[in-house]
Amino acid sequence: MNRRRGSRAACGLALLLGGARTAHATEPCVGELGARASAPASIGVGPAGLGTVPEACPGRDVRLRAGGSVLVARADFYGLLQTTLEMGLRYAFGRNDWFSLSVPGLQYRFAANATIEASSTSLSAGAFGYHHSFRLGPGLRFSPWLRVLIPTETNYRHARRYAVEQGFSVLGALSPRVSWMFGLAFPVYVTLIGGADHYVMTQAYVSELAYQPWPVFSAAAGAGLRIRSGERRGFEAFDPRLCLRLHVSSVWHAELAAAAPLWGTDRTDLLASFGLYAAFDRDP
Amino acid sequence: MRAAICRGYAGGVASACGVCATLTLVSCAVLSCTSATEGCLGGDDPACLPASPCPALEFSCPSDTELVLRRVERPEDRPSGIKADAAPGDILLQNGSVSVVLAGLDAPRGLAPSGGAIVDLAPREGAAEDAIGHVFQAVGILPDDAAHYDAVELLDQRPSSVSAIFRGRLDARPDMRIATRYELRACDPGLRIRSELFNGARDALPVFLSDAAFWGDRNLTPFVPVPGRGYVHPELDLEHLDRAFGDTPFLVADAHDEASSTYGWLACDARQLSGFHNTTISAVGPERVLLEPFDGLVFERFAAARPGPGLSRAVDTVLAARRMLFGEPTTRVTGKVRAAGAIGDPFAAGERRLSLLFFDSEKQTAVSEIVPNPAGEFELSLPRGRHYRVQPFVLGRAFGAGVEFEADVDVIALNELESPTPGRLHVEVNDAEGEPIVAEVVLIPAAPTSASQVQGSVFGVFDEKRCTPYLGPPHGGSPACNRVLVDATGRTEFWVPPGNYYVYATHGPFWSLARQRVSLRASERQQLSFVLRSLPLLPVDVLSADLHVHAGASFDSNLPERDRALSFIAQGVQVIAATDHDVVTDYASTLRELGLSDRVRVMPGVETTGQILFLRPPGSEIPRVIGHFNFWPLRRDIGLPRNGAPDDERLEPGALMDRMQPLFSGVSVAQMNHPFARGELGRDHGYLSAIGYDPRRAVPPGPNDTPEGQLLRASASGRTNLAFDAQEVMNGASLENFLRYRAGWFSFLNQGILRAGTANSDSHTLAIEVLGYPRNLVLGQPELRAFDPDRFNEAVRRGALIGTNGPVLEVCLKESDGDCLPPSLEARVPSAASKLSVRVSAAPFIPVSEVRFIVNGQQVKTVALPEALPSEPFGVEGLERYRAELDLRELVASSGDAWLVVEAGLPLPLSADLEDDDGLPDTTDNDRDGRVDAKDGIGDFREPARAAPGGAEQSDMRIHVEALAPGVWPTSFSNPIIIDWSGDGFEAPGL
Repeated sequence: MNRRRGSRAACGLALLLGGARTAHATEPCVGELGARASAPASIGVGPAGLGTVPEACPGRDVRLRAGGSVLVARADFYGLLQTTLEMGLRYAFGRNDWFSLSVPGLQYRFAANATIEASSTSLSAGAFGYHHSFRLGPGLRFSPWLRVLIPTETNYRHARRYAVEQGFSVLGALSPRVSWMFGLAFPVYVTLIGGADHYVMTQAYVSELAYQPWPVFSAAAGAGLRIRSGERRGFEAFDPRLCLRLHVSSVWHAELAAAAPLWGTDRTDLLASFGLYAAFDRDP
Repeated sequence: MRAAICRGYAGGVASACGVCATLTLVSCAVLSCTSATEGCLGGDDPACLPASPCPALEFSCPSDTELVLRRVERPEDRPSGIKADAAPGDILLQNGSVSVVLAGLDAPRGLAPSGGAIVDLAPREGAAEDAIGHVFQAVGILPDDAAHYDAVELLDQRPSSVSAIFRGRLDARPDMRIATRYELRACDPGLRIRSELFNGARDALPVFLSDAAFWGDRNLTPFVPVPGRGYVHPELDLEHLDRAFGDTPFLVADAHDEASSTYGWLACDARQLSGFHNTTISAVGPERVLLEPFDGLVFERFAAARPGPGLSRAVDTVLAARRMLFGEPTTRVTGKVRAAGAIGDPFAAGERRLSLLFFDSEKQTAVSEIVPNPAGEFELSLPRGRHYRVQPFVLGRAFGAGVEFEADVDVIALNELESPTPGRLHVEVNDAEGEPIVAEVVLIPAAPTSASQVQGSVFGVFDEKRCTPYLGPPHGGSPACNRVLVDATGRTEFWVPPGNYYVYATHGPFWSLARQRVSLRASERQQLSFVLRSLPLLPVDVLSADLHVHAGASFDSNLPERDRALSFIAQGVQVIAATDHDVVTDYASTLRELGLSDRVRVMPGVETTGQILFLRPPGSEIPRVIGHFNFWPLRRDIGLPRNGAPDDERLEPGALMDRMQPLFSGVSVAQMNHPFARGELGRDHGYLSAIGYDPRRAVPPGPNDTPEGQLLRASASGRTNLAFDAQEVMNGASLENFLRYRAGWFSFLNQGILRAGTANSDSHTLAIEVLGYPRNLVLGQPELRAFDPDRFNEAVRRGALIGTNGPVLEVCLKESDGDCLPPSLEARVPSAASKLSVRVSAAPFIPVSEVRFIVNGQQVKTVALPEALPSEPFGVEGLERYRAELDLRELVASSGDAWLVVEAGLPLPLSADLEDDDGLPDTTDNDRDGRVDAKDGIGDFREPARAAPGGAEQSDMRIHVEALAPGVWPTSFSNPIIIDWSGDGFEAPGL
């Protein structure tokens, strides 16, 4: 009885994942899966996308992204609301290479420490990155990157923050409709103030499974893991995440993503973002 | 350090990605930008040195003065003034103009969790005294956010400057580092301060980096030159702090008395200070900011200390500083006031007699205030280029339309101003033998003069409706409000607004009362003589005692010690427990100077007053404090912080009592004060309300997570939170509080938690809470000259006392052998023939209309008296109101043990608990339909003693009591007689 139920479930899962086609029959970054549907959820806690695993596939697009987070620590009488609005650009200049640019955007933050409240509207940081993608084998790509923070943040009074980030992601196509991604981002931040410098290094691990049941819609689910080194070292958070995408056309895409950090020293309750993407040249 | 971090990180990464490791090291090298650390903003330098504050300020002085920088070594280092608190171990900075005392690291004061706060700041000019409570640094309202300094460094750069640098963190945020540099230069009329804050935490934090000046209350009053403000500020509600925030170019404060200093605060690195103010606390600093991780914040300011009275000297200094910092020009204004129809010394009595408030006419902003000298002359600075109006204030009221002028040149001389001259009253008070006596004189408006015609205030603050006529600041020395002290000469003279008045002379509730009517015109002087007689009311073995008394040493009082000591005698109180907040006082030298040492015995004590929120009782999301407890007798030692009072913060009552034990100097008493008092600014005043004790619920056998279970939590030595000896049943005049505290006391008695019930005035002022109303009649005592403090305190602990605000109640259990056993917490074993003997007497002006008998918390018998008052309230007859011997078995069933309390006075209002189901009355029968219900307005407890005196003559039987002790509802209560019928030990009846 149990065996029969298991067989039915396996058949159902196979149909769901793409019918009779096998994983090695497809490649990531092309075809139906496309770059956008298999991209990691664009959600994280770092400035200008640092600490967030970027796309593993080359592409040429611009994006407008609004993000936010909420932290309510009732026991500590502390709350923090953050929103950002930023634009970005990716420009592929070969089959496997591309630059990324996060344009400094606007950031609004409101925080309360008991009944002492403060808010700020400031210019956020930007970032410039170089990305490369290798084909490791059938249906598998390896994409390292290097990004540098553009230190345009105006929310610091006496300090200035700099950062570089390196990282890589591995993207595998499990079927024409399903892909799997694993990535590591390693941002290194240094904040200079009063002649002193303060280092923070984060290891951000992300793994997601993306599924595109229909050409106009895809979804991704996964989790992230963040570990902080340097000052205030420790386990930051385990971030279950969900991302929904609407592929309006081959040019226009919309993405809604959310993550809920759990367990670690990051007390953020919810991260969410909404992005609009416009590809201006799908296949460089 | 940085290299090690980078290497470690790269090594960790290497296992995953060799290229990554290389890149990480390269990143570290690229990003690294080492330079010498600057100040303390970097956050991790334990030897950091904040820059010298306010470098643009350059004050000059006639000659080089010696700078002092050292530890306080002896009591003589303490500046003068009742608020002065310097103690060995503190740090003294001094030049020719000011003395500054900073709390030593291990001697925190008040709200400051560590040393490093300013505890004394006094000008060295004239007779100016220190008036500062304490000033500390904080970034928020939670205790977590106060600066906690761990290290101090003294920086001696004489002859140019001396500095003390405190370094530390926020109290519960070790990653938030703070360093504060206090610097004094040779000619500075105040202190330069620079604080540097570094956020090393992982989250951004809203930060209001501020100097929190704890004025206390009824002490220094803050003033800001902001439209619509001046001395009057928005209500300070900690839950809605935003509403109270505002910007001001500077903050000044003064205490409105002759000897007090005046203080000024301004930022050196910004034109405005942000903050909030009320008479308890001001907090000023740069605007609130969201401080990012690894970011820092700097606040530079100058705190001036100048002699009073009036604000002008501090404002002058602040304006001079702003001229140096921001180039703002000033105008020097001189002038003279002429007293119309002057009598005597026309400008004696300082600010209460005459002060001048200067308004910016266009902005409708008060800018400065000055008290002319005895010759009527004045001189002050004002911001230049503005149009001003100068408004005279006489006896707390604005007089005339004022004079307008333009301040557009360097110096301007105003035309002579004219001020009215009030009336002057000379009063003599003698006893029946014609000997002068210490007394109090109270004025009440009489028709056709109405209260509103003679009401006054301190420029809008301390706007007490009772202060009619206004004779002086209600929180200060005599004359205060509508009351004047008569010293041992039996004479006094004071200014009075023209009008018609009843003038009362009193020597307390056990002496006769005298009253005369007077009609006084402007510039008129009249003389009144009174004779008061002692009334044979008190039994011979009774001492009259007020066991909860404050004066100017308390942070929330500005009553001079001399006036407080005189009030002891004037109200006929024989024994005092001096219980100032967190400081031990004894009045010994003052009483000696007054020649009155033989008239009263003062037991040095303290009222411990937790300020730092820490207690988390069940169900409370917000941390609390444990309320207030009194302890006496203690040893007063001015060589110790707080004169020997302990640091009482963050201790539960049991642990606090542990800490007190070695400090007692004889048989000790620990008293829980106003158990259900509501808190103020988030600080609970009563322990039972802090823990949420419900008098309907039983205290469990052991500690648990219920409010009642908190009472049995024990200290390390095993002392529980119930280990106090007495609790206040009556505190001050409020009848609502009496009913609430009584409910708690009865709840304890029913559970066999036997504690003495006391009645105390908790007086902080001369006129608002009147000393001795109520008080205790402590039984079984020798006459005062043979006062034995141990015997006295044993009696208090035993409950051998009566609480009263007027009526004298004598209660005892009379046995057939003639013995009459007074109230006591010791169980009595009555016989079948035992009688309850009760006698009630009172001065002829104190109404008593019923006697109540309460057994196990239930009123079992009420005796209505035919006449509440004798016919002649100012006579000496009709003292005894009730006398009876009742069969004890008529009152107390012999089926079980019981306790019995007798009360006498006016009927208590019908009341019930409708608002919050906490077991405490909160609503009265306001529609007088015989029921307390929603129609009465839930939570609306109307004190019955709200009749305004001076209205319809004699229509209210309380009219004279109300004049003498506003709000008092004549009541007395006995301590319990504990009845153990079977003699096998008292078995409490239970709830």
